[in-house]
Amino acid sequence: MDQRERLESYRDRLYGYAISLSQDPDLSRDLVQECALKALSAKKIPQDEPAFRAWLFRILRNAFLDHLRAANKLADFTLEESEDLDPDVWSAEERMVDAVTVRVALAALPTGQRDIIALIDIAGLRYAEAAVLLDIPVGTVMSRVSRARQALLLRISGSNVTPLKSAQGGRRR
Amino acid sequence: MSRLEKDWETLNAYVDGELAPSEAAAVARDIAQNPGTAETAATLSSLKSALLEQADPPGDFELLPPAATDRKPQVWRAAHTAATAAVLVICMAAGAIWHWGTSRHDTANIQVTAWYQEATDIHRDWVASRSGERPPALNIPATAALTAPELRIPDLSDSGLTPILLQAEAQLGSMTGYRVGYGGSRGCRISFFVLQGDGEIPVHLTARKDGAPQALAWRHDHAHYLLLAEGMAEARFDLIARTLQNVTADWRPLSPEIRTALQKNRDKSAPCTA
Repeated sequence: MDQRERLESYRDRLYGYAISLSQDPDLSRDLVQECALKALSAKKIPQDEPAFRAWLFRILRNAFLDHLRAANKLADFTLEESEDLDPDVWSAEERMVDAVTVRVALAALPTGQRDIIALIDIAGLRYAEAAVLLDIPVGTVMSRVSRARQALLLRISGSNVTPLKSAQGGRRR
Repeated sequence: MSRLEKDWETLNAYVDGELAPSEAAAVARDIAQNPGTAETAATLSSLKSALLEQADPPGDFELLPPAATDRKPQVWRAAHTAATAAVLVICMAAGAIWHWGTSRHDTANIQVTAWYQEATDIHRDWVASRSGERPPALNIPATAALTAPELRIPDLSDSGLTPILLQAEAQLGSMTGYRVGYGGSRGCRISFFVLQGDGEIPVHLTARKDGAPQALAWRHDHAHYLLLAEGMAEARFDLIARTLQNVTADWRPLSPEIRTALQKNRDKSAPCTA
């Protein structure tokens, strides 16, 4: 696998991370391409896959932070952790968890919560890798992930979005 | 932190494959015994699948602008060569895998080829439909092996894979059994078929090499096994298959050495690309 192929294997996840952060398709495209160019022109490239993964997504995240800084919107990058755990999340009654509903609910989260969710669930980082990237303890990653998902599920359950029916109709073999 | 918050954190970490084996075993027991926990775990699993759907760029999206497509720093070529050599060494050290599909035309070859085609359709239908389909309740203990007389679910959590689908009545040709669908957090999906009957599948690992998805089959007595994935790093797929081949021989829990190997192998692997 050459450098392009190695990067290409992260193409979709880089875009998914970028769109989760920015909520802007054009900006996401620019961020990913900027990230790819920086990665290809770097003099020192991590060979170890976890280190490479964290390095790659850190480049993208820094590019997004630079964009916020240039637009004087860095203060928008907030975590706004939710308060006490809502027991309704734990009981988890019927929820409509599909891609469209999740996309709408994700967009409503504070950027910091979108960040941690996207790093784990879209970028596919392990907690330890996210901890290195964010420069926080693994335990803090674990806490932030669970709280961000709690906030996401609460938004899903409180939304009026009607999930699309699967074309497959839930068919299983 | 309240007990509720601690449990919620722990369940999230379990679904992410981030717990130590002893903690994961405790959560798996809770899931098996508590329908409420099982449903919450299923919701989290469903949420993770839906989030992965967000990684879907427009069709015309290019990773690099056209002017930058010819850049190829030499250091990457050297790394590629070294990585390829390392994979080859690992594969050679691990032992031979027999191949079928292009040169052998015996009964086993014909049977496995027929299985392969059926299994490919089933696997691809599952993967294609997962975006609109809630995973079934995650009430399958993910630790060690579920030792019910006719249903055993190998633990692949060390490879970042958890069982998210159980098809209790699967059939390939005249063979019947069940299928377990495993999912990972980085897009990997594996179908593991366990089938009973009088077949001609060789005992040794036999690979399908002339097409996608990746497939490896083996047999112990009258129990036949077929593993399928798509877009998974080959070394990772081979290690999982070898692990399952050993597990299905006696259904003993994985040794610490194998668990470590699975974890390291998973950490070093790129996400699945299919």
